[in-house]
Amino acid sequence: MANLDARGWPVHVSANCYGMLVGVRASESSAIPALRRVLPPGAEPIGTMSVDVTYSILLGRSDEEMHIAFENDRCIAQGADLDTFLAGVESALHFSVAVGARTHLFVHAGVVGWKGGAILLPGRTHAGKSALVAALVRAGATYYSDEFAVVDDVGLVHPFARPLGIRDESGRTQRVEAATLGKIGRAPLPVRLIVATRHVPGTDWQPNPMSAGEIVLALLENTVAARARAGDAVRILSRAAATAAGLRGERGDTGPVVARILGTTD
Amino acid sequence: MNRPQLCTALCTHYLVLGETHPMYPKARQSHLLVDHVGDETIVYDEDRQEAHSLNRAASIVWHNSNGEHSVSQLSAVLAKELGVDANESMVEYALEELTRVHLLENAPDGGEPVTRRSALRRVALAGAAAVALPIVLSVVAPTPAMAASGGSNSQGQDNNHQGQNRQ
Repeated sequence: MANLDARGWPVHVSANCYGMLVGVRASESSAIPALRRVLPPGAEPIGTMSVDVTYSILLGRSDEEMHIAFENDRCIAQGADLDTFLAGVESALHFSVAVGARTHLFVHAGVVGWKGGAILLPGRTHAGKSALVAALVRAGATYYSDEFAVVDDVGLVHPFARPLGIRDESGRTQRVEAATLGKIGRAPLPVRLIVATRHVPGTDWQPNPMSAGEIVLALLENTVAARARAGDAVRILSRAAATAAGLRGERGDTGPVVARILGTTD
Repeated sequence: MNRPQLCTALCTHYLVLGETHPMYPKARQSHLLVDHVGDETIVYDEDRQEAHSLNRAASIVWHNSNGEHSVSQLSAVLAKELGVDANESMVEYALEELTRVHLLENAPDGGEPVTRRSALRRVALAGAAAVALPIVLSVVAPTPAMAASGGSNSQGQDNNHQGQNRQ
């Protein structure tokens, strides 16, 4: 880290990300748009240089030169393609915030808003969250996130509206701007419905209802800081679950599922 | 039935069905985080990094297991709270579930563990109402890496298996 600190950084921003102080610096003045991209939604600029974690982005100056990024002194991304490289930095930074956030709880879940309430789709990688979120937004729901439900101390869910990452048939992730699909949420919402599901091709979706306790466990099982902040997690998720119904079951294609999900909260 | 015959019958009953619960059960208090949602209890075990959800019946048994109430007394409390006939089999089943997830301080040592199937059969034979069946659901709290991945957790479970919680 001392070696990184010793070089010049023409661009440096610091932000409060849900109670975690993050610094991001870049080797080129032209990297300001890149810095804005990798900071998480909801990040609030701060003036201090004293932060919890520093991300250093070294941009290649020619087509042959690799871009490299560090989280403190650990290399977290490198590559020649700028878009792919920044996606890697963004993913690492957002995950670090999810782990280290102090004011909010991060749950791996897709989130949409519908009729004044939030619908949460808890699940980890490859559960099919992004595709279902995209389908719900196209059907009129409001986009909140395809990756994290950001829950505050009283159980309200805040938007974390970064571009969706939707896998195509070859398994490659395509970046989709939420504005191209529909509306983007702004206000925190109470949780109205949890849908614990994963995509299994050919499955007819016949979900079972979940009790409030099952809802808490389904959310806790996908909470990034579940062990480090167990007390907060139990308390916050219990509050969130108190206002919600829950459905659990494997699903096939999104079409039949979307209508059923939106109809449940009408 | 004379006294020796009664003793033999009771011993046979417990040997066959596997009596594994303490006579005066005591709920564990240490290293647990407890909250409530509706009439269910959420318990986080800091020693094992596991979270449990106790339904109303299981919650009643656990909350009233103070080391001074016998199974019979717990049965009476449960019956009064749920508005059903007293049924010691339900309490015994609850205690076995609570023992399984390490929520009792004075869980018995040794003895053949009662399988879920035999316990449920016993409860059904005793005429317990299904609505009063104590249920304890459990999950392992993920590490950050586990929460991010789509693979198995340390218990070998598929993290995206949405069909069931552990029971």
